[in-house]
Amino acid sequence: MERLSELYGKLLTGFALVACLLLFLLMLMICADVLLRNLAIFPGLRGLAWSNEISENMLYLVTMLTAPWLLRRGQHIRVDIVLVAIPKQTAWYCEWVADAFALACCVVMMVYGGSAAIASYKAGSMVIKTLITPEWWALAPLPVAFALLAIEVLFRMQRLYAGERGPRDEAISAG
Amino acid sequence: ASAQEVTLRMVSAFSENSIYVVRLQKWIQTVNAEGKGTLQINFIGGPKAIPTFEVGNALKTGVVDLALSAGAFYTNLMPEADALKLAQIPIAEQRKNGAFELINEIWNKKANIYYLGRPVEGEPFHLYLTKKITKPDLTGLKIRITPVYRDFFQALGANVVTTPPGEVYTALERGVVDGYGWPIGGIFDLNWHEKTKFRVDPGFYMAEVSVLMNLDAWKKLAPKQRAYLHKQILASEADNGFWLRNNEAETKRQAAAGIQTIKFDAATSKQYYDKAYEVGWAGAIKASPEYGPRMKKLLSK
Amino acid sequence: MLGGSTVLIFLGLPVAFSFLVINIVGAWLFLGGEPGMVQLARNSVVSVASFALTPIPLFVLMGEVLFHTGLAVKVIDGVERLIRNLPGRLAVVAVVAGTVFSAISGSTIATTAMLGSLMLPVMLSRGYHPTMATGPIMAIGAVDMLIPPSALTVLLGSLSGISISKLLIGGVIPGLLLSAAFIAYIVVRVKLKPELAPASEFQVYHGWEKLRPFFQYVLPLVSIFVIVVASMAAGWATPTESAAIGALATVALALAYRALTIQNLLQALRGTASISGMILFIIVGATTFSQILSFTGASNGLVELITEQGLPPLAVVAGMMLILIFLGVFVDQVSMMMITLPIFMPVVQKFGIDLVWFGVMFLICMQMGLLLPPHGMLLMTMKGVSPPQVTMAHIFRAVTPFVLMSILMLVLVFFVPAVAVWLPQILG
Ligand code: NA
Ligand code: NA
Repeated sequence: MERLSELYGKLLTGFALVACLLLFLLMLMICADVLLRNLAIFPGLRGLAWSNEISENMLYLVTMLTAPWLLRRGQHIRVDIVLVAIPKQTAWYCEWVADAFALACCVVMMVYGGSAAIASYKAGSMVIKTLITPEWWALAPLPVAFALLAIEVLFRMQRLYAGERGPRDEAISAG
Repeated sequence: ASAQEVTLRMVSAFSENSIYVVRLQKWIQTVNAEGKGTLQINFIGGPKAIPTFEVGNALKTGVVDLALSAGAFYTNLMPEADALKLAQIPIAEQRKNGAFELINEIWNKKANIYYLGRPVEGEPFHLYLTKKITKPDLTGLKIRITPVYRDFFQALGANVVTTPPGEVYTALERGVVDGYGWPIGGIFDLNWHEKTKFRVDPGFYMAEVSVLMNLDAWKKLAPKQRAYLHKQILASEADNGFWLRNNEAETKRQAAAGIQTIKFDAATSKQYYDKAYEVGWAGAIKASPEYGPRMKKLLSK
Repeated sequence: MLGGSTVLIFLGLPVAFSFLVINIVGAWLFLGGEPGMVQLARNSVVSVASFALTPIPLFVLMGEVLFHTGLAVKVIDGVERLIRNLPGRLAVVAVVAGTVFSAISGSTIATTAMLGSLMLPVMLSRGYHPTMATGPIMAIGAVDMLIPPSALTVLLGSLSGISISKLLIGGVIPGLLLSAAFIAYIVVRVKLKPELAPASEFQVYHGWEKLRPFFQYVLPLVSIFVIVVASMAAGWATPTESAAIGALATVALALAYRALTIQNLLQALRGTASISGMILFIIVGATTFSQILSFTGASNGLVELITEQGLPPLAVVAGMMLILIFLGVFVDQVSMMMITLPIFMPVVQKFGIDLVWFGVMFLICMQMGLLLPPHGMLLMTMKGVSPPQVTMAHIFRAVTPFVLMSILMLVLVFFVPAVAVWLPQILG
C-alpha cells in the first residue's frame, strides 16, 4: 500500500510538472503574441490570433493537473478553526466525514463530467473560435482530474487511518 | 398535457442590463399578465445564472425551457447557428417563404431546440475605428473581433485581436487595437464611445437575437399553450420597428458624441457590403455543407 | 446553500470541495437531475478557462522568481545600505524592502515568506523583541496585495466586473500610505520603548558602495514595474497581457544577473503552480456555486431585500465592510470574494456607488483578513518561518497595531474616496 501510494504520488508530481511547463509556455506565448503584433518580425504573422483561446485552455489544464497534487500535499485551503478547538479524537472523526464527502463529490463530478464529454463527443460538437476543435477535448480533462482526485482521497483516508488520532495539519489560505 | 397553467424557466445569454433583456422583461410581464391560467415565464437571469456560451447546452438538455440568445453563442451545438446573422429578409417574410420551417428543421434535429421567434432584428453591425481609412482595406490595423466578424475583417486584411469585453476600452485607449466590430447599439453601455473616432458605414449583417425553446418542453405544451406563446412572440416581432427607431437614435447619439462616419463611394460601398455577405456565406457553407446552401437561398435577398 | 457550505467548511473539508458538494446538491435540485449535473460539469470547465484570469499565475510567478533566485537578498541589502541610523532601523528596512517587493511580486505569500526567512533571524539576533520583529513583516506582506502587481486584485476585478487596471492602480496610494504609516509607527514606538529594538552596530557604507546595490539591483528590479506599466501605456499590450511581459522581464533579469538556474526556475514554477492551482480550484467550485445561487433566485431575493430597506447607500456599504471583516476572521480571501460578490455587486450597482472606491475598500478588508487572529494566513506563514522562541501570542500581539492601522485606512478611504479613486482617474 505504502509503495503504491508513493508511486501514485510520483504520478501526481509528474502532472504538476506538466502544469509548470504549461505556465512557462503560457508566459512565452502571450509575450510572443504581443511582440509579433507590434513588430513586423514575420510580415505574414502579425500576432497569434489563437493565443487567448489557448491561454484559457492552458489555465484550465493547469487547474486540473495540479488539483490532485495539491490534495496530496495538503494544499487545498481549508478552515480548521473548529478542528483545532475540539478534542483530537472528535476532530479525527470529522476528518473522516469530510473525506467521505470529498470522495462522493469526486466520484459524482467524474461521472457527470464524463457523461458531458461523452455526450459532446457523440453529438460531434465543435468549438468554433479562431481554432476549430472538438468540444470533448476541452471537457475530457475534468473527469480525468476528478478520477485522480478520487483515488487520492482514498490514499488520504488510508493515511488518516494509519496516522495519529487527530486533525491534519494543512494549508489554510492562499494569495 | 392538460390545459393547466405551466411555468417555463427562461435565461438570457445577454447580461441583465442590456437593452435586449430590458425589452425581454417587458415582454415577459405581458406574457405573464395575459397568460394567467395558461402559461407563465419565470425569468431566472443572465450569464450570472448560466454562462453565455452554455445557454445553448442548457436549453438543449432541458435545464431551462426558454432562452434569449444569439446564434454566435451556441455554434458548439450546431455551426448553422451563426448563419442567422446573414439573413437579409425580415422574420415576417422568413415565416412565409419556408425559411422558418427550414430553421426549425435544422434546430430541432441538431440541437433539440424549437426556434420560437426573433424579437430583435434590423440592427446592423458596424466597424468602429480610432484611425481614419479611405478605402475598405484594413491592412496593418489591429481590430478586436468576436467570431462573428473574424472572417470578414480578416478578408479586409486586418490583424485580428481577441480580448475580453472588459479590456476593449483600455485596448482602444492605449492603441492595442485600432478598432472593433459591434452592433449599432450598445457602445454607450460600455463607454467605448469615449475612445471611438469613426464608424464605417454601411452596416453589415444583422444582430440575431432570438427566443428559443427546448423541443421537449415545446412538445409537452397543450395546443392552447402553444398558440398562446406563438401569439405573444408574433406580437413581439410585430413591434420590431422599435429597432429601426433605436438605430436612428443610436446613430444620432454617436454623432453627438463626436463619432464621425466614414462613407465610401457608392460602388465601393456596395463592394464592401457584398464582400461581407460573400465571406459570411462562404464560411457558413463550409461549416455546414448540408444546410448552408439551402439557408443561403432562403435567407438572402 | 450558504448554510450547507458553511457547515462543510467548518468540518475541515477543503473550501473548494465544500463548494463542489453543495453545487452537486444544488444542481440536482435546482438545475434538474441528470441534465443539471452535466451542466454543472460543463460550467465548471468554463469557470477557469478565462483569459481574464491569466495574470494570476503570472503575477505569482514574478514573486516566486524573486524569491527562489536569491535576488530578494540583494534587494534587502540595497535598501539597508541606504537607510541611516534611526529607531527600529531593521524593522524600517523590512517595511521599505517589503514595499519594493510588493511592486514586483503579486503574491503576499511569496513576499511574507521572503521577508520572514531573510530578515526575521537577523532582527531576533540583534535583540529585537519578537513583536517588533514579526509585526512589520506581516503587515507589509499584507500590503503587497494592495500594490500592483497583485493576483488577488486581478481576481477581484474579474469576479466583480470592476476594471482590473483601475483596481490595480487604485491600490497604490492606500498601499504606500500604509507603508508610510508603518514606518512612522515603528519609529515612534521604538523611541518610546527602545528596548523593543535595541540599536546595533551596522556596516556604514559611503559614496558609491552605499549606492551600488541600489543601482545594481533595486532599481532594475523596480523597473520591471515600469516595463509593465509602459507596455500598457504605449499600447503594446492589454493589462492582462502585460502580466506576461512582467513575468518574462523578471525571468530575463534573473538570467542577466546569472542568478537563474534550471533548478530555481523550476522551484519558482512549482511554487507558482501550487498557489495558482489552489486559487483556481476554488474558483471552479465557487463560480458554479454563485451561478446555482443565482439560478435559485436566492441572490436576486437577497439583493432586493437589501435595496428595498430604504437604508442610505453609505450605511449599506459600511455594513458590507463589517461583514467582510467578520468573514476575514474565518475564511480565506478567495472565499470571501466568492461568498459576498454575487450579492454585493448588484446592490452596489443598484445604488450607483463608485465601483473603484468600493473595490479598493474591498481590497483593504481582504488584506486585513490576512492579518486577523486567530486564522490570518500571514500569521501562520510567520509562525512557520519563525524560531520556537516566537510564540503565537507574540504574533497576535505583534499584528494588533497594524490591524488597527488598516482599519484606520479603511475609514480614511470611506470618508475620503479620493485616496482610492484619484490616481485611477488621472491615469485612466
Ligand atoms: Na504586489
Ligand atoms: Na498579492
